[in-house]
Amino acid sequence: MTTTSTTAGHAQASESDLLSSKTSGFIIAYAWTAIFNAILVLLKENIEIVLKIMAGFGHHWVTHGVLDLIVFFGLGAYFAGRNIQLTGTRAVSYLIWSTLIGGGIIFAFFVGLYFS
Amino acid sequence: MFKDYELLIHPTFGVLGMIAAVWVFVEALNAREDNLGRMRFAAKTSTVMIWLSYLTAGYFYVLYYGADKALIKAGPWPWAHSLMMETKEHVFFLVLLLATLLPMVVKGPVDKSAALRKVTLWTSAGIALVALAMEGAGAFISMGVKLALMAKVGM
Repeated sequence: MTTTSTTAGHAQASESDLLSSKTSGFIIAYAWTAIFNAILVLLKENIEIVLKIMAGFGHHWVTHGVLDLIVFFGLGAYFAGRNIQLTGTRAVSYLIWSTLIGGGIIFAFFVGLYFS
Repeated sequence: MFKDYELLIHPTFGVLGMIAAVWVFVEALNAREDNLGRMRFAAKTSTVMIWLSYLTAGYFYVLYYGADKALIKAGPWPWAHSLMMETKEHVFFLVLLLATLLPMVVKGPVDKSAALRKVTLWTSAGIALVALAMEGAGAFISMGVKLALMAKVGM
């Protein structure tokens, strides 16, 4: 996962072309959480017991948000401690693709549900 | 009465968070040592505003949205709930996470690291764009309620 390619384009860019392990770790955590968020939607909308369990903590949406935050900070702490250093390009691709895939799955699922 | 104002406070915080993210984007385009402080302040502002938007949305959604949901589903735009609201309430978590990530990103030397500057630009742009989509979806949901009420009184 660690690469050494550089990112050009900014006049003052000269020192660090790799992100810190903390920043890299939390970007990877974001990417995984975006996918986890979408999977959790599919699970709770398709498996009644999952929705019931999530609603059992008060409201399924509140539980959903709390689980996302736990996964984000948990994975962030884990990956930050693994000394992974991403390039800017790699980090941005994680951010963009996970947002598009995570958001896209959710949107596509509810479009499908509406027309089914 | 409070819930009516609360429903206005939620998108207001969202817009402020979006504007602060655009502010971070602009500062990052011109990243220099002397604007790092401003960039970090804008990033924290965006985070706080998006979190306040989340908390006020959650309060309204959990306690009061059920009545609106029933109205929308019985009205002429049922998809304002089943498509717009359902998508919005779950995609919103992505904005929340990006806004939480932003201050961590700009904590580093954005003026010296091309990688960090690139990530700052894309994270702030992501917040602004997804938040804009949330605002748009919110407009459809409000319209869904309005049309349902109009249909109810025969307009």
